Amino acid sequence: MIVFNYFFKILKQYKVMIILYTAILVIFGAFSLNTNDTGTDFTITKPDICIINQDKDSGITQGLTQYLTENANRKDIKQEEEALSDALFYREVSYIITIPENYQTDWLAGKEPKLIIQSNGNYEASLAEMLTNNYLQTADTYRKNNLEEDQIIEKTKQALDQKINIEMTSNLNNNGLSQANFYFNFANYSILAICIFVVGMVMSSFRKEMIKKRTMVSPMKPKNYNRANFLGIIVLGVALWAVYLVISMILVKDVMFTLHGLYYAINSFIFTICALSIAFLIGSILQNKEAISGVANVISLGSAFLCGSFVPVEWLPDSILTIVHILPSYWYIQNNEYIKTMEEITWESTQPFLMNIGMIILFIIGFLLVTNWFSKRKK
Amino acid sequence: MIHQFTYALKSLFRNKMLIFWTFAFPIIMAFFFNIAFSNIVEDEKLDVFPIAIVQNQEWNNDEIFQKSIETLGKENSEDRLFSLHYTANEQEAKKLLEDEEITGYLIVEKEEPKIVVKKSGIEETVFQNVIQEIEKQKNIVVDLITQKIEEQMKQGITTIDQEKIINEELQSVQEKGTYTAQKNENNHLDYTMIEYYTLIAMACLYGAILGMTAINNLLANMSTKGMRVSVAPVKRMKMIISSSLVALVAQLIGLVLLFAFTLLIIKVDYGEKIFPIILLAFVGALAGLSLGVFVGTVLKRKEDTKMGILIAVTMLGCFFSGMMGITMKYIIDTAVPIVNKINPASMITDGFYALYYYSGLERYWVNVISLIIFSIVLIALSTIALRRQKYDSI
Repeated sequence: MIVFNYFFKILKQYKVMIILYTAILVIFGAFSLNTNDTGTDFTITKPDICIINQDKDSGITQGLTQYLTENANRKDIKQEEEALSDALFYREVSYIITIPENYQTDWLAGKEPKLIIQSNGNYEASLAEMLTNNYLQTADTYRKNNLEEDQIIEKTKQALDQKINIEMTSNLNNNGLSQANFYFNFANYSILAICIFVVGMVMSSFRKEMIKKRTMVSPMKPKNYNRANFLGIIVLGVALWAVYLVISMILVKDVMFTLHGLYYAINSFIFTICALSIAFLIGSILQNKEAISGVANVISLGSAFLCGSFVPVEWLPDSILTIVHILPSYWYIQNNEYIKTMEEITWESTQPFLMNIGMIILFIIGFLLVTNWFSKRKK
Repeated sequence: MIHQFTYALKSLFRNKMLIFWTFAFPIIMAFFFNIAFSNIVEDEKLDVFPIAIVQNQEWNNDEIFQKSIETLGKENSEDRLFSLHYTANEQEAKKLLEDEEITGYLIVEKEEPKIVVKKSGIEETVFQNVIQEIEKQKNIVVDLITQKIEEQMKQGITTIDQEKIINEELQSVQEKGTYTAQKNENNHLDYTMIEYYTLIAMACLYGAILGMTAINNLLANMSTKGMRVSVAPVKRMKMIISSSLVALVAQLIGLVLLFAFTLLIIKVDYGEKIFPIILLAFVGALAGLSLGVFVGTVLKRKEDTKMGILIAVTMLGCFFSGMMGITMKYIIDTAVPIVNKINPASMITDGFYALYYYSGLERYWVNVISLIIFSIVLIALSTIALRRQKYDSI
C-alpha cells in the first residue's frame, strides 16, 4: 500500500500537466459542436458569404440579396479592405459580393453590370458562385422577355423556390456522431501524452538510484513492489479514461447513451490500456526526466498528426496511411471512423470493430513483451 | 569579452535537452504539419464527384435532362461537375450509394426528378442545386412558351410556329452570361501557411529558454556557476551582454535550420521579400530572448519552474496565433484584438502573414515595431531588476 500511495503522491506533482491536456481536449471537443444540423432530414449546406451593397435596396438588388440570405450564411464583416481580406483568408467567409452603385438601374437598362467578387476558391465559394449565377441568369431570362421589373423579381423568386425532392437514406445522427468521433480522435493525443508523460515521470522517480537501493534493501518482496506499482499505473489509466468518458457524456450526450457510444467507450478503453503499455515501455527504457518529456511529446504529437486525430483521416496522403499501420493509434482511429459509419449494430457489423480491437490488443501484448525482455536484460 | 562569449557558448551547448527543444523540436513539428496539412488546400476545392442516373423509361424520354447532365459530366470540360454512372434500375444505384461509390443518384418518376443521397453535405447540396437548376429551366421554358403563344393568339396570329418558339426559348434559357467580375485576384490563399508561421514564432520564443539558461548561469541565486561568476572581477554588464549574445547566436542557428528545412523540403511560401523576412525573424528572435532574460531575472523561482512558465507562455501564445487551429487567430484578432496585440507569437505570425498575403508593407511594419517595443520593455524591466543585486551570503 505504501508504494501504491506514494505512486499517487508523485502523480500529484504533475496535475497541472494532466489538467492542461484535458482542457485542450475539452476546448476542441466543444469547438466542434457549433453546427446545427441534428436531424435526420436533409439540410442544405450554406456557404459563408458577405454582401456589400453600394446600391439601393430595391428591385434586382433586393431580390438577389434576399435569395442569398436564404441560401447562404451572410456574415457581417467590418467593411474595410483589410478586414474583408482577412476574413477571406481565414475562411470566415469564402465569397464576398460587392453590388456596385446603380446596379439596379443599369441592369434594367440592359447594360449588363457586373458584381465585384472576391473569392478564396474553395468549395463554399464554388457553391456561392453557383447560387449567384443561378439567380442572375433566371432574372436575366425574364428581363430579356420584356417583363416588368416587379414581375421579373416575382417570377424569379417563384422559379427558384421550386425545390425538388431529396431523400436521405442514412438514419444516423451524423452530426452527433461526427462530434463524438472528433472528440475521441482528439483524445488519442491527450491520452497518449498524459500516459507516457506521467507514467514515465513516476517510474523515473521510483528508479532514482538512492530510492531504488532503498527499496531493494527493504523487506518488501520485489513481486509485491512491482504489483503495487503496476496497480497504480492501471488505476491511473482507468481513472483517466473514466474522466474522459464523463466529459464525452456531457459534450455529446445524444450519442454517448446509445450503442454507438458504448463502442466508442470500449475502443477508447482498450486504447488507454495500450497507451499505458507504451508508457510502461518508455518508462523502463528511459531514466532521464527531460528525455521522457521529449519522447512523450514526439510520440503523442507524431501519432496524432500521422494517424489523423487532428485533421480528418481522409485528408491524409495514402502513402502515410499505409506506413502508419505500424502504430496502434492508426487502429484506434480507424475504429472510431468505422463506428461512425455503422448503420445498424449487429453481430456482423461488429466484426470489423472487434478486428481493430484485436490489433490494438496485439500491440499491448507486444509492448509488454518488449518491456519484460528489456527489464530482464537490464538486471 | 571573447573569453566570456566562448565559455557561455560552451556551457549552453552542453545542455542536450536545450538543443532538442530549440533545434530539433520545431523541425519535427514542421515535418508533422507537412503530413497533416499537405492535402487540405487541394481538398478544399470542389472536385468532380460521382453520381448515378437511373436510366428508366422516363429518363430516356426526357431530353432536356439528358443533355444538361451530359454536359456537366463531360470529361475534359471546364464545367465538369460529375463523373457519371448509369444504372438500369434503382436497386443498382442504391447499392452504389450504400457502398459509398457515389454521392447520390437521380431518378425521374412520374415526371418528377428525385435525388437520393446518404447524408447532408456540400456535394449533396451542389447536386441538389444543379438538378433544381435544370428543372427550373424546364419550367421557365414552358412558362415563357405558353405566354408567347397566348400573346400571339391575342394578336390574332393563327399560324403559330411552335417549334420555333420552343427552340428560341430553350436557347435563351440556357444562355449563360457573365454576371460577375473578379477583383484583383490574390493567389496567396493557402491558409495552412499560418501553421508554419506559428512554428517560426514558436522557435523564436523557445529561444527564451536559451536566454533564460544563459542568464541563470550568471545568477548567484540560481546556480553554483552563477555564484562563482558573481565573485569574479568582471563587469556584470559585460557578462550579461556576452551571454545574451550567445543565446541569440544559438537561436539564430536554430532558425536558419528551421527556415532551411521548411523552405527546401516542405516548400513553405514566405513570400518574395527576402530582407523583410530576415528582419522579422531576427526581431522575433530578439523578442524571444528578451522574454527569457525577463523571466530569468525577474522571477525568483527554481529553474524548472521558470522553464515551465516559458513553455506554457509560448504554447499559449502559439495557440492564440493559430497553431492548434488556424481559425483561432482570426477569432482572437476580431473578438479580443488586444490579446494578439501584446502576444509576441501573434506579432511574428501576423508579420509573416502580412508579407505573404498583402502586397503593402504597412501591416508588416506595425508587427516589427511592436516586437521591438516588446523587447525593449522587457529588457528595461530586467535591467532594473538586475541592478545592484548583492548578496552578503546565500
